[in-house]
Amino acid sequence: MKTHGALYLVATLLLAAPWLLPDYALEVAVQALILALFATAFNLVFAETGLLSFGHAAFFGAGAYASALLMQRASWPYLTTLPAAVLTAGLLALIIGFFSVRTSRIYFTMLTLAFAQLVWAVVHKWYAFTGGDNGITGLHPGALWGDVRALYYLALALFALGFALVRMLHHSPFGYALRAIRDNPARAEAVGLSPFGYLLAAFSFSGALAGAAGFLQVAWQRSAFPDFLYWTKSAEAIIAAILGGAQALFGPALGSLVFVELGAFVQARTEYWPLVLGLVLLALVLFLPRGLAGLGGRRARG
Amino acid sequence: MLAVSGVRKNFYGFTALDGVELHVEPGSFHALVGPNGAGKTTLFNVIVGRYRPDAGEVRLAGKRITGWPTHRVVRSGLGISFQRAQAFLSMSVLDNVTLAVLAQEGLTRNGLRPLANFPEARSKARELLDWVGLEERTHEPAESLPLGDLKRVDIAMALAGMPRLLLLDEPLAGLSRSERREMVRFIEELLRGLGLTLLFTEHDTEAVLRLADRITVLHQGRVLAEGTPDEIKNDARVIEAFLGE
Amino acid sequence: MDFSFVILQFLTGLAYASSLFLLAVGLSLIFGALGIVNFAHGSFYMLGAYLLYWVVHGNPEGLWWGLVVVAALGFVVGAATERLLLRPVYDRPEHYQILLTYALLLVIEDGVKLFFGAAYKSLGPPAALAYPVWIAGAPFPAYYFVQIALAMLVAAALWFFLQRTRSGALVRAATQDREMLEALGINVPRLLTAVFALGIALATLGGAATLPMQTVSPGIAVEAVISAFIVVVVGGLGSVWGALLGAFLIGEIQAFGVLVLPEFAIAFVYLLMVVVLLVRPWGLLGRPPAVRT
Repeated sequence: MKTHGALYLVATLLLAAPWLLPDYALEVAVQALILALFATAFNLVFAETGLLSFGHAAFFGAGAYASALLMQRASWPYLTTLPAAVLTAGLLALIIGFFSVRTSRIYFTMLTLAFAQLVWAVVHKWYAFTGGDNGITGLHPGALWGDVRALYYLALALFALGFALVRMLHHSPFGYALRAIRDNPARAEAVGLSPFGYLLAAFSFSGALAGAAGFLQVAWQRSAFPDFLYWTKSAEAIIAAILGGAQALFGPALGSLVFVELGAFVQARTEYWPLVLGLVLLALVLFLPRGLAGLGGRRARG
Repeated sequence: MLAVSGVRKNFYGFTALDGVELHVEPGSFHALVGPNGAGKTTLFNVIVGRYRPDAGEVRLAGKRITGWPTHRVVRSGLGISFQRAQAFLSMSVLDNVTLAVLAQEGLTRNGLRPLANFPEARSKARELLDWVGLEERTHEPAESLPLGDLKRVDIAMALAGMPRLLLLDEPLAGLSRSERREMVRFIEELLRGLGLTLLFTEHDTEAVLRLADRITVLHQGRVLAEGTPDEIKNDARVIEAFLGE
Repeated sequence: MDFSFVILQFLTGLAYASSLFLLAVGLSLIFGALGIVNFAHGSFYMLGAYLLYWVVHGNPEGLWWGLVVVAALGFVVGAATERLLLRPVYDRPEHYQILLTYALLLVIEDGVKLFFGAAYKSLGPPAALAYPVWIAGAPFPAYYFVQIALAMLVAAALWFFLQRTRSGALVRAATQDREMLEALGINVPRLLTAVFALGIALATLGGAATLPMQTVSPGIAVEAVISAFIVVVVGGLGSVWGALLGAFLIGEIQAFGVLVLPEFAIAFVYLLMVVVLLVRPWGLLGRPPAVRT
């Protein structure tokens, strides 16, 4: 029951944070929650199926742009754009996944990267629709969601929901089927599983969740930029997941927290945050192969 | 039960199977033998749907399954156990077999309920593990099992759908002498007891002669001879082909 | 569109293709022999440009010997990187290698900022090449011919090395069967160090060679590595000639795509990559992976 105690403590802290932290720290916390949702979504594909997607920025960006465009052009209230953001991202993932999940290993990584960059190139240049590299700025998420505390709770709620869904999938027959396909695709087929459908469903769902993270990013930044879809954005999710420990369900969230908090801490002191991050990652890869969750020993699976 | 007729398969101009006929009678134990490169593995792969034959057809219990993908063949009554024992190494023994049971019942698309909360599949999996003698090891991770036990997990998974026909690809490969003896007894007792039809390949001649009701000998992609163990033992062509190697 | 214009556009595409080839061929060699996707490859390319600026003290006349020195420095840096950082992760899953080279990308980018400053650097071509050549009545930068010649020279040298020398034969063998080389008693770790160092030397040379035509900033690394990926994925991971073909196709698509739909020339390039990956995932000149059983 020790784990339950720890869980309640973490939940209490997360809920009480807006009353404990100054506004600046809360802004950072929102960013950490957004990345946590994004990285958890990415990791659903990475950990359960073993496929490393380098294209999740496209889904993050699709969610963000769906939300931003509906607010800007159709004057939808911010919150009502959530279903559209999730659907757009999920649909894009369905399309990209349809072509990608058949391929294996490094080809999957390259194909997802290529598709995402294709989407980025279009968003980046299509001034008439997406505003091109100027992005979409000056959005007003409404009085309530403009308040950092309200936004924090929204982000926390979406992250918690996303995490709960990923956890549920992990323990369900569907999750086991995904890991069976990862462990041994030939044997998986020989027990009657057809890999394609499972992989595509997981990839699309993961993309939809990443879209929800993009939706939050719009409110946090009150803008959407092509950078949301650039390949380095995908790298953030990968870093967070591996930093925290991809084999633990909470690993990506933990990694996101460390990534964002460390980033804020370092950036307040030096402009050389990428250098510090690079050195941290080098140390991580060379000395801490199981991620931060690996420090807690093998019993790290939720 | 299984009827393979006129199956032909070429790879890059090399003929792997050249008009193969194979009929497995319901309830029989049928062995498929031949030297390496005779086409046994290719024929297996054609039957399970990994390769599409260039000509000919495969029927399972009268139904034409030629060219069906593996997962579909499996769900229509064929159990497969591979040469190199295979299990899903990240899972426990019980989870491996539970998953196989759920897959047969079409329940693996369920993403809502934990796998542990499927009591019928759970108890079915326990029963299967009981049959293969692994009831003591249900909660061990599959990766910690020795090869012999892994093969039993593999067979338990192959039996999950109560198949009409079970394919075993070299069930004795990689086992020690004593493990072999045990596995032969296990196959005899369990599978005869279940009344299963069995098609298997094996290099161990002694085991083949002991287990099989009928034997088909493949040689250079063709059926060289077919008959009871006694007939095959005394077949001049078989003797010539094997001693000539 | 008149003919002279087409020629000019073709030559511009060829010049672009030349620098793409120098950038990408090392990435392909490294993937072929080491099986590692080097996300830091564009960073070494960027580093090459800065190193050139540094060794010639901003003097364009030093270009020729500067290129040689930069390639040599690139070789040393590459060898050190392989020995100290990559060797420990060869046996680890791919994502560690990707993460490691990505970390290297970050370190090099900021390291360059730290040492050379964040300001853009530029270096004109040497005086003798600072004038345009007139082709069919239109001006064309003379230095582009240097880039094209350099790429051809490197391609020819690589061909000679890989096809006509013993070491080259070993490199080719390493892309196919590493275990066999070990069985033959070849010092494989040293061979891999050499291949990585060669790949990095080519990247730094490529980066340095673009400096006379292009201002550089540390930020070009992330774009460069993506361009290099596209080239090798189109041409075939691990294939030197694939890199040559891929660079040519992409250079020309860029040059002529700009004429058709100026906004979306870059999207054409990604589209080509996607199409190739779907139709021939192993690339135009790559070898298909072993048949799956």
